[in-house]
Amino acid sequence: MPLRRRDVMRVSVGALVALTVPARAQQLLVMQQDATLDEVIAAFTQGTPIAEGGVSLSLPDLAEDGYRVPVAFEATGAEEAMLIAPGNPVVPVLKIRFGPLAGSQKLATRMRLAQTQDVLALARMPDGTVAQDTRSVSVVVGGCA
Amino acid sequence: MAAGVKTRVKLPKQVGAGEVVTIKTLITHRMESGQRLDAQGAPIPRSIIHRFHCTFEGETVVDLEIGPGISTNPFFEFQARVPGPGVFTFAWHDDDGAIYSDSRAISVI
Repeated sequence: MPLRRRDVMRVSVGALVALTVPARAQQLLVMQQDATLDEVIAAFTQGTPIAEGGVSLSLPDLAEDGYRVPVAFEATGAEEAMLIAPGNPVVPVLKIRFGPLAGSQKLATRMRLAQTQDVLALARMPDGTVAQDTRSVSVVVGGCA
Repeated sequence: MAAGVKTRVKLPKQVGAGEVVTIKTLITHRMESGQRLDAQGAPIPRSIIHRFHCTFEGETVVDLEIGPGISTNPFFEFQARVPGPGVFTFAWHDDDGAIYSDSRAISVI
């Protein structure tokens, strides 16, 4: 069969699409506003299985005011970490990158919780594994996140 | 640039070389989540600090990507290792394009 221009075009267009699709996936930021819980976790882990331990999340068991809930997080040795609130309208809350001068892999802040939920912390360790911790928090007055 | 934005940073002025210091930072900001509705029922557009970056002499301490799930007046407490005398630089990036920055010099005993 002779090589037709039409076929060449098809192949090159296909190749172009194939090239752009992974690039699009890269652009899919972890902090995307409308990402679902699974999408956020997948974007962070990049397919690595999640192990328990190695990261610890501290939150009160009962939060009276969902507008400001103190949260502390520690993952010794982690390169990157993420705080996720599955029950909030915007699921990804915070993504942390620890630089070479980080004194420890600890961070404390205050977060909004829209409802009673299991808050999730993920951490990427230098060996490439991903650790996870969850804390269940009862929220009395939901903070519109 | 939003009006009345104030940054606050707390860290020791002096430290032993190679030691770890705790840094507390705060910025006054409404962190409008983009989820709320105004009196007419129209959504109030999102306006938050979406990134916080702390460096020491050009090297990153922490770099945070922030979502609307962080409370009003975002507060962060973290630790940094101080290899020698120098200046900590803090930058808060607003959704409206403004970058609020602050810096603190630290000396080594």
